[in-house]
Amino acid sequence: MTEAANDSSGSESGHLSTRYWPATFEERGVVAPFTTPTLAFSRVRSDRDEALEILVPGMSGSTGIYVIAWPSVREMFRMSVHDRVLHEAIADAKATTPRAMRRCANQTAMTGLAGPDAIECSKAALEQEENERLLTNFYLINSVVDRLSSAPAKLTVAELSSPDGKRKVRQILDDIGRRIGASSEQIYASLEKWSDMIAPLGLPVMPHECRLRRLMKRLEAFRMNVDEWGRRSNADPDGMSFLTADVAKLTLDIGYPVIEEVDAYATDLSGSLASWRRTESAIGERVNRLSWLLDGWDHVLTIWDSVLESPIWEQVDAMEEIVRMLPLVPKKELERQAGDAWGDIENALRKFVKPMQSWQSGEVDIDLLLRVEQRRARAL
Amino acid sequence: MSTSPPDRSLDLLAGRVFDIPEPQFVDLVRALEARRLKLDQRATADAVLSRLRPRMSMARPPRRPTPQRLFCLPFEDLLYDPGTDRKAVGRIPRSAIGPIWALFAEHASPGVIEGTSAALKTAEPDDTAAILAAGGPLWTEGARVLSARDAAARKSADGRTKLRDALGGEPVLASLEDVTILLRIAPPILELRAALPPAPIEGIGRQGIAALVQALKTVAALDRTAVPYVIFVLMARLRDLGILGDLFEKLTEAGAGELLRAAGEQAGEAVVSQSEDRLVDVRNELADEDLPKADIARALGREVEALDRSARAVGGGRAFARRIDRVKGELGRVAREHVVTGSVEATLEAIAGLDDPMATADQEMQNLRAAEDRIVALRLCGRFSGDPETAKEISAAMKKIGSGLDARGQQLIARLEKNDAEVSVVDLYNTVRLVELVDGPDKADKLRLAGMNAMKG
Repeated sequence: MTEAANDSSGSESGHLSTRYWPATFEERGVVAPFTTPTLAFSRVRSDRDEALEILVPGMSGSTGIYVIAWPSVREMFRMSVHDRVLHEAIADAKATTPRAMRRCANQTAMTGLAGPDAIECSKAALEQEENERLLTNFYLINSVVDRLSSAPAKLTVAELSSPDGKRKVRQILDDIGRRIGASSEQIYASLEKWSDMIAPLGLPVMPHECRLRRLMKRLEAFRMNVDEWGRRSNADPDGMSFLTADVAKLTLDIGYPVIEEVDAYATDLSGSLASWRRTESAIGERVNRLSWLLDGWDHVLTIWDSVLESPIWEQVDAMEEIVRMLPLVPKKELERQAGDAWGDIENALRKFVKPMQSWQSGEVDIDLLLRVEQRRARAL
Repeated sequence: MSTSPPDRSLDLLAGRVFDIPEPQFVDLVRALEARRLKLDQRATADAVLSRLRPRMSMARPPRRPTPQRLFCLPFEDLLYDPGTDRKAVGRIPRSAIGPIWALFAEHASPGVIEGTSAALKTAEPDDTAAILAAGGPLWTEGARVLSARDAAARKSADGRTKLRDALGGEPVLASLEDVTILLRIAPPILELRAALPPAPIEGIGRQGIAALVQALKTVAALDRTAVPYVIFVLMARLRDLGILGDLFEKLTEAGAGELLRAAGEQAGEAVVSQSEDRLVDVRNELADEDLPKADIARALGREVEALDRSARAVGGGRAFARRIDRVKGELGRVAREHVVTGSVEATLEAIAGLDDPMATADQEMQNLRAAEDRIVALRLCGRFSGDPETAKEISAAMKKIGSGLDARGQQLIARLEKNDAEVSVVDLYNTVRLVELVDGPDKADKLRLAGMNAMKG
């Protein structure tokens, strides 16, 4: 299978690729939370010349993915004002990773151009992100204090932030540093870096689950729900829901071991800190992989959540939309998995994906735009 | 494609409803039933009730039916409590049961009701076969007696008036024919009822479609004029008439196309008539609620969509289309009353509130939401309004709001150019957002760019 990027037989502004199954996360691109219905949850990536391009699936009567050069997007689509601003922000930041895209998305949402809900959801998401970072830091330091000091102790948040508490921690870190051959400053800096890296995931000992762990749980529930819906609704003779559940399952099967690996570093605190350079790069690589793996699923889940109580035809429409934007696990990730049984997935998808019509029409469907805005806000 | 064993987690979850203590369970069901009556809560209540259904059937052990209950079984699905004093086609007011049963009891052959009563006493309450067997003679006799009374009354205008008055009014007299026909075709209707999922139906599988086709064919063989009643039973069980189109397609594919076409006119009558009744419900629901205007507009839009879908499914001629248009026009008038009237003043007031220097951030957000809600509601109503007066009013309202926003935009640019400390980029974005909702993204983006340039000086 040729990748979409190599299938460049079209015009300068864009071309059609009939390929669905990306080789790598970078080739799959990162979901850009546009609100213009035709562009909703398209993906952004760098081309071979490091310029940005956008991938829009199932457009213009085709069943392939349209690959469009970044500057042409504004000429080809009648974008919402929010999307014009997001388009500029993505270009300025060259946002081609989930983390960078998240930053652009929040920054643009805070303008209010996607409505008051987007502002509030963005504020709440940023606040939660910061809280999760602080909590992760607290639990990580507490784990170190509890398990690595000669006199195990548990600190409260108040103790940790008081001068006495900080002194106590410093003494404990000094003690640990002497044993593993590092200074307390180095250990402290490592723990800061460590908690920053794993903040989206948190630690298993935390009573609060952080964003990616929550997303995995939601994905698990979604997988069961769509499977159940497929069996009970009588509205899915083609089995779109089963395909979706299968892709979700594969994502979970790949994601859980990655989480276990990241958690394992916190189990072996002493070893992880002693070889911090290796630990740092290994944790960074895994959390990054998990972010990529789950990129796009929060949007899928909000689409489904929004129709859970809707009439059946809206659920069928939502399922068709979900299949169109399903975050497929790249081939390279599957190669790491034993027993790959996914050879026919591309053909299955081609059968299911319904083309979007009237993508260049002038009139914006206000209700559709608002629905996309709402989903986008909830997915922040 | 999936090879893993089927996941039973949701079934297990549903099983937990059995852990709820009985008194709380009864309260819960009562509260959900009450919520079902509200427009915006019906879907949630239906979803939860569907999960509670296994427990509900246990909470209410099967009652030993009386002859009167058994008499009603073939037309049970069609029973309803109308919000008007007329009767919808394809439905039977619950209040018609008493007079029709009394008429039957008065003229039934001696011993039929007593015989049924005796058979029911010996049958176990959960022995469906024995109960249905007990109903056979009752339904046959019911069809005979009621048909004879109806025919006798039709012989003279006076006879019909007398029967109407004896029964208690036109809706009961109209129900008499429905009851008679359904008693006549009781066996296939009861088979169909057993094969269909319980209400509210969202979709029907292959077995259900096969049962429907079978029922249509059997009823056609018994009495071709009774075929529409099979569709009425189906319609009464649907969560929403909007799915009728999909079902008709499946039935046509399964070989029932000709029978559906033959029943089309009456099915169309039922769609219009039930939609007219639905209008009354909608008005009552909206009168009790204080919903955001955009939610009202969306709910009305859904009603129009369901009406269009069901109307397409049953086809129909010009007269039918005119009646559908009339219902849509009426929905447009509901929109006018609840959404359009007063919207310009309310929107402009909310927009003016954005400039209140004493307003807190929360109040500003509230004003922005209020303005958005009004504008979005107007645009949504504009899409489905079948009433020309309403459409004109919406268009005029949008123009006035647009002019207000234009003026605000120009003032804003002038103040930004002058470096006015009291305006900020937030004011610009708020205005851009509202202009986009009224006039689209191109005009709004021009304002944004002009504002950005003004800020750069």
